[in-house]
Amino acid sequence: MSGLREFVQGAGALGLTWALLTSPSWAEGTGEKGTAGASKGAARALDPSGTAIDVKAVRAELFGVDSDAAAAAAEKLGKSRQPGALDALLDALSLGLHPRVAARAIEAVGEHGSPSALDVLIHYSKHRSADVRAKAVFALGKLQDPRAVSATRGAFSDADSRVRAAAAQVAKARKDLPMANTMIALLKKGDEAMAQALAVIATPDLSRRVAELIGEVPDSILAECLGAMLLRPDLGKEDIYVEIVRALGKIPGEAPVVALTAFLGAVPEKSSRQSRREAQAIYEQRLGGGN
Amino acid sequence: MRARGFGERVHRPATGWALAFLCVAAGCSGAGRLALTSDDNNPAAIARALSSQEQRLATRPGKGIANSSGRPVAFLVAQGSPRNLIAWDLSEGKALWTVAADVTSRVVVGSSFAAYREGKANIVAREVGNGKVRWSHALGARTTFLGLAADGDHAFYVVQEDGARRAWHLVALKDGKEAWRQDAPGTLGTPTASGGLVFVPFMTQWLTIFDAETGAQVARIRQDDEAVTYVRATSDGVFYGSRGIFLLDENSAAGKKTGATYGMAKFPEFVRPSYHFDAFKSVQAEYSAYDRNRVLWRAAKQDGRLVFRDNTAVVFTYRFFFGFDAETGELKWAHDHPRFDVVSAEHVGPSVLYVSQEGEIGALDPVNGSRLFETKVGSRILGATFDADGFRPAGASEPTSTRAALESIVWNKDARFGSQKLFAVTILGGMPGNEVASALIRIIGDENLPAPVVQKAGDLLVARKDEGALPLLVDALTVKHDYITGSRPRGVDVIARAIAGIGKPEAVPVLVAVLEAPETDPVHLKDVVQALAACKGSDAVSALSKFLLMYRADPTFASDPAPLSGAVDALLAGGREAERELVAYVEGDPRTQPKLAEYARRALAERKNNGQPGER
Repeated sequence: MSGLREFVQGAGALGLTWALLTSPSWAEGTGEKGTAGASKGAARALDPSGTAIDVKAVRAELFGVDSDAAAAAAEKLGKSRQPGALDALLDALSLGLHPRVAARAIEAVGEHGSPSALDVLIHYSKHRSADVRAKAVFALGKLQDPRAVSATRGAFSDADSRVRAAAAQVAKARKDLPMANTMIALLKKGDEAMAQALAVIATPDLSRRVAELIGEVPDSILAECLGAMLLRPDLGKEDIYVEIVRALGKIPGEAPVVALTAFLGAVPEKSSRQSRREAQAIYEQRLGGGN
Repeated sequence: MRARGFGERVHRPATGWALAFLCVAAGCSGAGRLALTSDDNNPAAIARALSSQEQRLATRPGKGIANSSGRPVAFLVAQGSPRNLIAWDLSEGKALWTVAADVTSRVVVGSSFAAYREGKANIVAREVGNGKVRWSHALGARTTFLGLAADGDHAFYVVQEDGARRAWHLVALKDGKEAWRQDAPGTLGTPTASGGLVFVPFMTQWLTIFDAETGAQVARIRQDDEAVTYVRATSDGVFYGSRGIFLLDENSAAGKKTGATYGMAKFPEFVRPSYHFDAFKSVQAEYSAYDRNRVLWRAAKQDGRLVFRDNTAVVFTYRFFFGFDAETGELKWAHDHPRFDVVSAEHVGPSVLYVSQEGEIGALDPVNGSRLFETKVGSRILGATFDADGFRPAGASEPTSTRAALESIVWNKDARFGSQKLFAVTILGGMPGNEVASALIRIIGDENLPAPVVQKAGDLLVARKDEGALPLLVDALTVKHDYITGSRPRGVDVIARAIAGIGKPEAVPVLVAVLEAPETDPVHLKDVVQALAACKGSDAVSALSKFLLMYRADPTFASDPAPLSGAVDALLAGGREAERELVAYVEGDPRTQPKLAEYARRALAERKNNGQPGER
């Protein structure tokens, strides 16, 4: 396989593929990069759940033709923290998998949260399968590398809502405020996934901006977003909450009633907050047919 | 057959005498009847007729201008209820007069009057100087009007009698009264008059020439190998024909194209040349869509043959003017009249005059298509007659750009102009320069253009293999898919093929980005792969390797693995062992899609046998 190794080194494609291909065990289809010379006992070390797996055997399943078995193997390798588990996943991804198996493998890689997965995950964040891309974006969200951040932010422009939803999840987790404008733009295009994420990252100013989007954003999505903001205890001073409640009062339909109901349920009945009083008034007016 | 001299009448049968009697009773001077046999193609008679015409024309104040003031005038029929007739002084740029008139024919111009059919029942003549009615003449009932002409103090019209037994009449009017008439047993076409002669196509086979004063037939051409459907008089001569142009001269006696002074311009395929209005179609006796689709030309005899003035024939179609080299058919210039259809245009020698439906009246230089002037008459116009032979407005022409005109034609949103757009893009694609390449790139990215136009632009862009345009091609692919902004690269397959034709490594990064973009249409991937293969370089090899590995097991490519097969070919074409081993791995791994594995197998075997990539 010297020729193939030469190709790998010279072409500089997916790093882990090349690493795999240069591994002495690759030729046997059971590559154990980084574990060469390690004892079988080490390969059987316990995973976090306390279950030991035969990494070599599971790796072989991952490389097998049975997609179901390969997907199950990917799941096992994702849970395992044994040496070689992550490499097996990255090697398999680098050499190409059925998209269904690839999606599971990426999820599994994401569970490792390892920076060494960066190149593979970025590459798969551009896979032609939206499901695979979404999984890759989500996995990248666990990495702090600037390239990972850039890739997950770029996913907001993806044509598939599943991928954008993954980007929103990541932004929510990271409290990625610089993406607020992008998320508002998507909110205006009716992207439901932005509602909750935007609510989580919102500052008082951002809340006011969102509250002013009545008529520009589908009513139900805007109500969901504002309702989620109301449930945040850390949004800011009471006047922000009041503004949001009033904005919800201006949105037609049932969605704002649902949002206000949730808010009323979350704030003690005896609370003296003005936002609660106004929410209660709007709620009663709506239920009384004053919509 | 004895040559018949001026003033001699043709054979007049008994019915003709009856008509003549009625005519005399009505105050007209005489009637004749055209016969199927006559002294056709008599060179001496033709020569005498032309000599007579020449002498009379020499006495005019403006050589080719019919009205005796010699002033170039456009007679414009304006929309309205009733319609208006406007006499527009082209040299002064103002209306001489405007009158309400229900004009339902072309306007013809005599020495001191302009005549036209008014409504369906009358011929009306107005003073050229002030627009006042000079005379009116009632057309017979149950007739189809076929056209009108004027010369000097006479007007001439042709009607078809729609009775049980059809007959055709050429009638000469002087001061509104019938001066003479000729009856015919077969179809007569719209007459033309000039220099004391009246020219009338007869049964599409003959061109009959009458003395305008007396109605005597002075000569007749029998054309054996081309129909005579029009006759046109200019200061350069009298022309007739159908598919081509005969100059009326002594050679006309040949009666055939060979021997006659005959010519036709060479045009591209989309042009169906109409050299003049069809004299036998009554609809063309009025201003109609036929005015908007025809060839504008001037011609003369030179070195014994018919040549087009400036060696140019102008194809006029709605808003577009194309000046073609009459001999080669190559485009010399193009002019796009913006926004509105031009309803009438005429080549008057030193200029092409036009008027648009919005009343923009102007002139083009027939040599280069540049605009000489344009002004507005303030009315919407239905049609026009230009009595302006030899007129060219003073002043310099505006600079013109054929490329810009062609581009403008392509972008015209009017759905009527598919063939014109196709022609424009074809010519445009043959022009050099980055402006053209840029235009072609924009055309292939416009989904609103007709598919054949986009297809043609793409073919031309690929065929150019223009290294200078590589940055433009790269820029076009640099546009990213973006759900938020709605942006996306356009014409990816075509641009990839164009880049492949150039084959420079500078394009590799953008091609890699397009190859990796999930939004790239799968049907375009094959072209992108081939472009990367053509551009070569380690980055291209790396990208193709990753692409092949990533999707080799993907059922999306199961039925059509062409992009992956292309990657196999590209990798093997490099001849390196590393890539061969990679392809071998793809071929041997059981997860690889069967069609791709089979392709890789054949490719490897073929390479082993003769060093060539696998069959595509």
